[in-house]
Amino acid sequence: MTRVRRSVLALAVLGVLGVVAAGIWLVAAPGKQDAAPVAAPAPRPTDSSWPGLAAGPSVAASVPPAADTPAVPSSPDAPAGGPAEPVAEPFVQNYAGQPGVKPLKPLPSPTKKHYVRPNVDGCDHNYGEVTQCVPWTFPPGTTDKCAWLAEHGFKKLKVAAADRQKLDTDGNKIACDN
Amino acid sequence: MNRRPLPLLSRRDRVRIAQVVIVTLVLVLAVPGKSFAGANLLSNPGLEVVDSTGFPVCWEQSGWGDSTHKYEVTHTAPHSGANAMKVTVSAITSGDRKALMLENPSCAPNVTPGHQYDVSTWYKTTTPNTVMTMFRHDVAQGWVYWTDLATLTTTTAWKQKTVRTPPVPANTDQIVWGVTIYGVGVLQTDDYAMVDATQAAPGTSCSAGPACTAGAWQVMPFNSPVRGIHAVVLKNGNVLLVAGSGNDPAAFAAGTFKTAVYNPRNGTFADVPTPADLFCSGHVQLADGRVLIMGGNKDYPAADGSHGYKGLKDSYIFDPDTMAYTKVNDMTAGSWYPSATVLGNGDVISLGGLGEDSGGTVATQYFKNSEQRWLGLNEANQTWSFWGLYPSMVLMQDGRLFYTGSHVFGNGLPGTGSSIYDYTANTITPVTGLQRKDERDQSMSVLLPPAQDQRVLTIGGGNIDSNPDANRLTDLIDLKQATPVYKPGPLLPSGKMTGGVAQTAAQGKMYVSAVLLPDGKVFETGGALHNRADPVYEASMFNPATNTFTPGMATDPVPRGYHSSAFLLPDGRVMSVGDNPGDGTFDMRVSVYSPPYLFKGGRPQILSMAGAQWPYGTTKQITVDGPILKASLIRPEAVTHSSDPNQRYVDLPMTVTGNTIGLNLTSNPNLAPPGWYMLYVVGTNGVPSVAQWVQVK
Repeated sequence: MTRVRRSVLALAVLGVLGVVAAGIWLVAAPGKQDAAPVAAPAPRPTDSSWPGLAAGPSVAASVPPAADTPAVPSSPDAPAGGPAEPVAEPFVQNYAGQPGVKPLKPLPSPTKKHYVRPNVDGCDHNYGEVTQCVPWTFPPGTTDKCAWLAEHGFKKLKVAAADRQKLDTDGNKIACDN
Repeated sequence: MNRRPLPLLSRRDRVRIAQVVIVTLVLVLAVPGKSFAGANLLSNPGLEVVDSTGFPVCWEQSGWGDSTHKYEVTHTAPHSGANAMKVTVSAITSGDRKALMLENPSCAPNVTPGHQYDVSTWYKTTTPNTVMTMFRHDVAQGWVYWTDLATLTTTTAWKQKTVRTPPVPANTDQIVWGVTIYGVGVLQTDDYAMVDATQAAPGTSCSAGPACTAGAWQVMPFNSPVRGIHAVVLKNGNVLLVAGSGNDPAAFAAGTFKTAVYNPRNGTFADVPTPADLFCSGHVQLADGRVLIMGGNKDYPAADGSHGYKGLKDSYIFDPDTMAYTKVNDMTAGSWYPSATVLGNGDVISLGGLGEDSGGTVATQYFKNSEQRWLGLNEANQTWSFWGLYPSMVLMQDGRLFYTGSHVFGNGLPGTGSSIYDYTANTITPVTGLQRKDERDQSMSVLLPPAQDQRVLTIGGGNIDSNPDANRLTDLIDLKQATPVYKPGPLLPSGKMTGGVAQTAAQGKMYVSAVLLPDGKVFETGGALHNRADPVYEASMFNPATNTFTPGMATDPVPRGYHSSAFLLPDGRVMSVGDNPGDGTFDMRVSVYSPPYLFKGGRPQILSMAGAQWPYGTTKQITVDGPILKASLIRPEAVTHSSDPNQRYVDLPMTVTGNTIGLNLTSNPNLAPPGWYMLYVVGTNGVPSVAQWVQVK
């Protein structure tokens, strides 16, 4: 091989390598304009305060969870021994101060029962078993209470106390049976 | 003789060149080279450029409250360059201080909604009372607080802390952040960075048909052996179903009280001896995972109206390990339909309900966890206010309770219908804005994900007394505001009545169930139009990021009205039980809902975890099998009558190193009261893991 040929060959190889390297750099090294990717970037530097991370995070092998308790292996979190880390106090934000909103007037200690009416559940317990619920007020638009009750599964509805809603027109203590 | 001139490159030379090129290409492409991290989006991240006052350009001194403090740019041993930021707090009684990026279009980094960012800083601090705090620029609201990411540990040498933000909320165009110091000490920071860390989502093709967008229900081929009026998800993943007498006076008369524990992994039930009629009780998980049961049913009402329901003073603790109830001391008053809210210190406050004489219980009842007993009447602060039945009392981030206005039976409380209760100061201050407060009977309120955002959604409701058509109203409140006010939310989507009849435009539902999901959305299901009548078949997904409902979720084929509940299972599905219409029957069927996320691909795996005990303000390390979008702790439900004020989703900001994730737990116990939580991670395909259990303490 002549000196000229060796030089040309060397130049050709360097040239080709240069072009390849430039191409790869262009493809693989996005500029600042391209740096808002949808694709994930390479892993970021980690919190250097993690103990033992300098040796690299140890990824525990996947262990098939037991059928009833899908627990995972425990990985080390803190070095054994050494002084305990100081604990942060709760960080509480200064929200909802309600400036200008006056608190309700304090109530005195009660001297009598706070009355709540017996049919607190909205049911008319004059009818049926206690577990049943004839509405104290029927839904809007109800023109035929007995038809409404029939549509909603009430059968042989006894009148347990007063016939408040006039459902027992024959007075036999069974509502809506005629 | 003329020789043909030799070519400059012989055939052998050309082959050699080709070989070199190929080998070079193979080596370059096959061997991992330098990783090209994304661009640092911050201006003046190293604090090296200062203005005429000597303070770094694009940075400002920020904070509030009463403290003695000093900001300085120190040149003594910065992490790099010539400058570092030094904030010294020598005394503090309230508030905090921070060096913050300037909230202006030039300095604040631009962001893309939905993207996540790795934010990092090098730091030294002598106090652990620090936190990385984020603010965002909302195109409609301006600059608003966003979230807190992580507590920094004390160090005398430079350390770096990197945390991945949650996805940037909609309508956000810029963010700023800094490190807050809220204790006495010295904080130095330097070399800040912020890089777009958005992960590419793998293929999310779904072949499950309608389930891809609506999810799917399955009615179990077995019934519940008990009337599941009270449902508590236990620390072992089982479900406590408490019936007591189960709204059955015959069972009450016979002294037949029932409890069962359901194992959702194998579909089995275990009976539990039940010491009293725990029907109508309150319940909440204690810090150790046992369940505190308070009150119950002392008597049913008389037909002649001579008395109404009566409340028990009894209280028990159910232990998931021994599967047994143990009695604790009596409450100070009878409690039929009492509230139960666990506080940041692990204590429990119970309000409202009916007493032993059918009257309203006006005592504030306080369970002191450290002593495992109910305090005496005079040991607890008293306002003597009647809070109604099952008042929804949500723990706020400062320890006060927000009464959402959601309640059971009849009208709301007098006044505005919602308020803030400060147990320590013993004050109640009204909150305005709740729509139709007298028609929010058996609506449901939830603290929206994430708990750090301090927003509450109240959904639907009716009134069993006046019995109007239940409504479609929703109300949203932001408890971060100086004066929080409820504002109307989007209308609940319309559903169908029995027989497929479409609801009218004004009709909504009461007996609503709202379940927080691991993807940060709220699944809303079940309900009925009137008092123990007329089931509504409608389900939707509420997205707290956009304040919108996605209608058309699959509907439970089983009616779910009065005495129904729905709750999240550790595997990410939703279980639904109960229905007790006015005719006195009870539907014992069990339904389970698989949300759309379960049809989108493989589930991320939590491969290892740094123990199950998680102290506040720490970073806990887990390993996973692939890219993770977010992580959260969800408090297991303890629900009855559309009421579970303790349900919450606590965001865990991530420090990401490949598949090793540091999860940063808040330092504030009021955001995550002590107890057992379900840890979920969500893959970039939107699919959540199965939960692992961790105890926050």
